[in-house]
This record gives sequence, structure tokens and C-alpha cells, in this order.
Amino acid sequence: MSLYFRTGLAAVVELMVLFLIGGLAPFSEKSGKQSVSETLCGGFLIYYALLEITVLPLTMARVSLYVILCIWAAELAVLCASSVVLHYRGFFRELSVHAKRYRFAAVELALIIIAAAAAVVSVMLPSGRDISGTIAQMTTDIYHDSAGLINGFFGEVLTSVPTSGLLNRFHVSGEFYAVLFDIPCLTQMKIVQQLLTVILSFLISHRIFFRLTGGKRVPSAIATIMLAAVQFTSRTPYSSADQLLRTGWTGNGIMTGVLLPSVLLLLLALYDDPDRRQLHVLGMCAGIAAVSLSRTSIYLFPLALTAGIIPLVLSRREPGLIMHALLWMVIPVSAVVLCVLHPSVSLL
Amino acid sequence: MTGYSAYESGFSFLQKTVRLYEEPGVFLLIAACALILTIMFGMQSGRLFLAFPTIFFLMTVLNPFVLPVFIRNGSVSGEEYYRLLWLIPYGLIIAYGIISLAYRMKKGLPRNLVYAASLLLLAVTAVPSVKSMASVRPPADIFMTDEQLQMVCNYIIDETGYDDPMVAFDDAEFRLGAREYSAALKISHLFEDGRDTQDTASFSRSLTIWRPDFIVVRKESDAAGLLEGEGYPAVAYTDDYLVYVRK
Repeated sequence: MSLYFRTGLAAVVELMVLFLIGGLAPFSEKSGKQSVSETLCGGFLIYYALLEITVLPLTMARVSLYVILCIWAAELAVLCASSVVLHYRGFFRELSVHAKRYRFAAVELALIIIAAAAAVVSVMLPSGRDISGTIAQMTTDIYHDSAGLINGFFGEVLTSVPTSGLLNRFHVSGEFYAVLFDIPCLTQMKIVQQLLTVILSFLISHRIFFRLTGGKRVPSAIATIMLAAVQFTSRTPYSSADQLLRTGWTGNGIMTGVLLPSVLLLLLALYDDPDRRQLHVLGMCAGIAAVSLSRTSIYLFPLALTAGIIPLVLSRREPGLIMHALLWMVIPVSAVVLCVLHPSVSLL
Repeated sequence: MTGYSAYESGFSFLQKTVRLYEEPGVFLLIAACALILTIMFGMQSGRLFLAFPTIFFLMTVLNPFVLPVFIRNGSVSGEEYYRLLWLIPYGLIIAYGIISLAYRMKKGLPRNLVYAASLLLLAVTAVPSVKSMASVRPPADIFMTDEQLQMVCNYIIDETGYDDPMVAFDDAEFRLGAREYSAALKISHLFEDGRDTQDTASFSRSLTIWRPDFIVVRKESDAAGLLEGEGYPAVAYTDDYLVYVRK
């Protein structure tokens, strides 16, 4: 298989994985109302939250990259298999509303078990002192000279991207697909991840317009086209559009292109259905994912959420939503406090 | 990235950055108009979740009068303050404002005219961006790294034949640059771990733990004098750097 084919296949499989994982915590109660965009959005949030929960303790214990990838592969396999069982074999479909609650509890329990298992593994595995097995080194471990190849291909635009972006924990995901499909890690990041970020960003934006226009298909489609025109023309260093199109494979690019729009979509979904508990789980996942993506996102996520939750609480007159919002942002705010109190602590 | 820092510029930081980087100034004007259109013609959800947060940010974290307070408290880094501008969803507001206006028009010609005018306006704002994109050229040195770093990396790769040598650089720029230049090099964190090279005992301990194959230090570095005694003879040099190898 050619490199191009494997790269395309990696992108498709990544999307499928996000779709399957997103099926575990649907936005809407009725399965017929669940859109692909919202499923992918939910999948994205759960995926990166789990990645953070899994990889952070393992990297702190300096577990080798190989072991981290094996654990991550096992987690993904379990999640995808669960999703298939739950949604495509109709196992729970005929059960009562009470049973659906149990299903929700099962997902929560699974998340807790996975987090606990990752923590236990991180303590039990022998810690290596060789930095070659840790995240900072991951791009050099497996694929030699890919950096030079990619830099030569893209020229100035992409080589100007700060290399520190490669050190983020979320790039373990990139390494995972790079190994799985035998493609250079930087190809995965700069092509597949960039592609996925743009796709997810536009799908989520389309869904935002769909909800903002009260479910009208034509205006939401036109608005998405307008948005594309704006995104492709406003190349200013200070707009999220520029982040999306130039550095969509970095943590900040994913944050501005996917995470912040996801928060807006979650708030809109809550506006339509304030009692939907899955949305609160996804909100908490968004908070955890914010810690994984970049140092900036741990500041921007609570700000974006605060600005969004105020009108939601005022319009719905449900003060309880404030407590939920606080739960969403407890992890990133803790990270901010940690960074402020202990500037020497580097989370990335 | 900027050349402008909130530390130095204080109140005028936002104004300067906008003037410098928002090249198509009309783009901001369109965004402001779209915000007004959203408030006037948008649905309640649009006003609540697009217009309100934007005004909230403009009144709080992006307010030039509040900015010095944030910076004085050390809550926000002056160099990274511009990132707060990412919170404003320009694209969503512009697109939503336009369709809100269009759907207030009668179906047919008036509505289509709004779309056509909007697209024309966006196309006009795109001209400077397209021009700037056209001027992008690959640099002569595709790696965009220091020449001395390239010399050092080439030497080490030639000596080891892509055999995953572990290299410690005392220069932080070199640590990052080496990874961009050649993925064959494994970068040791020796100098991040044993930062204080003046403390001989501490540095020796770090050296025993990391044991890099090659160590590259600046000629004036304190580590340069220590390495010979630790079993690392100097084997090569450039104008500013010395290369040591493990015996």
C-alpha cells in the first residue's frame, strides 16, 4: 500500500473511532435525532479526556512509549467494542428508561475503571530513566528523518510552527495512528490531524448553526459556507481561523478549531435540553481535554464556559446549571491554580 | 510572534496589535456589523450564545482598562495576552449575522442580494490575505536551524551512522532545533535535569544517570571544564560549541 493510501486510511479510521466513541454518550435522547456531527463532537471530547487520564500518569512515571501505545490501543478497542455492542446490536435498545440510566452509569463506571487502571499501571510499571522512551522523544524513536522529509515538502509555512507543539501529550494519539498505519509520525500530525481538525471544526460549526437557526437546514448550510469563506480569507495571527488553517495539528489549533466550538455546541444542546445528563459528562470530558491540548486552553476553556453559562442560567432560570458548569471546569481551573502557585510545574 | 507585548504597551496593546496584524481592517468592521445584526435580527439563542459572550469578553478580559489589572496580578502573561482574542468567534458571528439579516428579507431577489453583497465584501477582504499567501516561498535552508547546529548534527550522524545516538545540548534552542533537523538524534534531558552545572557533584550525578553518547556545550559553559574529568573527551568543535563523546 502506498503512503498516500495508508495516510488516507488513517484519517478514515480516526474518524470512525471518534464516531464509535461518541456513540457512548449521545447528545440527544432519541437515537433518530442524533447527528453525525454531534456524535463526532462527543467522540472527540471523550477521546481526548481519556487520553489525558491515561497518558498523564504514565508519562509522569516515565513509562515507555511502547507500553503507553499498547495500553491506549487496548482502551480504544474496549471502547469501540462497547459502542458496537451497545448501539448496533440493539442490546439495550428495547430496555426501559430505567435500564438506559443503568447504561449511563455503566459508561461512567467504565471511565472510572479505566482511569483507575491507568493510574495503577503507571505505579506498577518500572520507570525507565532513558528519555528515549518518553513522550518528548516520540517523534524520533520510530521514524527516522521524517522531520526533514516533511519540512522539505511543506517549506516555510509549516517549519515556522514551534517545535514545542510536538511535546504535548495529545500527540500520543498521533503516534498511535502513525504506528498502526506505518506512516511517519509527522505525516500523521501535519496531514491527518490537520485534516481531521478542519473536518471536525466545520461539522461542529454546521451543527451550531443548525441549532442557532432553530433546526432549519438551508440557512445553516448557507451559514457554514459563509463561515468557510471567512475562515479561508481571514489569515490574521489573532483569529481562530488562522489557527485552524495554518496550525490545525497543534494543541492550540485543535483547541480553537474544535474544543471551543464543542463547548458552544454543548451549551446550545443544554439550552434545548437542560436535563440531559450525558451533556454534563461531555462537559467534564471537555474540561479534561482542555488540560491535554495546550497550556493556553486551560485558561481559555473556563473563560469560554463562564461566558456561555451565564446566559444559559439566566434564560433557563436554573441555578443548578452553575454547579454543573463548575464541575466542568474543576480540572482546568485546578491546573491553572497549580501553574500559578507552582510556576516550575510544567503540565505540557 | 508579535513584537508587541502587553507588558510594554499597556493600554494601547490591543489597538497596536489590531492595527499591525488585522491587515484587512474591513474584516473587523464586518465582524462588528455582524454582531449588531445578530443582536437585532438573530434568534434568542444566537443573541445569548454568540453576542453575549463577545460583549462579555470585550467588557472583561479584553477591556483595555481591565488589562493592566490582569497583568499586574500576573494572571496573564503579557506575551500571550493576544490569545484571549481567540475567544471571540469571528467566523460564527459574521456568518450568523449575515443569514439573520438575509432571513429578515423577502425570499427571492432581496435575500439573494444580501448573500451576493456579503460574499463580495468577504472576497474584497480576502485580497490582502491572498497576496500575502502568494508571497510565501520555501526558505533556502528548509530546516531553518543554526548553521553550527547542522554541522554538529552532521558530525554526530556521520560518526554513528544513524545508530540512535543520544545527545545532550546545553543550548535550549539547539535541543529543539536538533529534533527538527534530524529525527535520528535522541535528545537527552541532561541539562534540564542538572541545570546547575556549577554544582559539580549534582552535575556528575545527572551525568551518571543520563549517560548521553555525545554532549554539545557552548565554549564558555561551566560544563566544558567538567566533562574531560567525567570521561568525555572533546572530539570536535565549531566557532561557539564543543562536542564531547563518551569513552
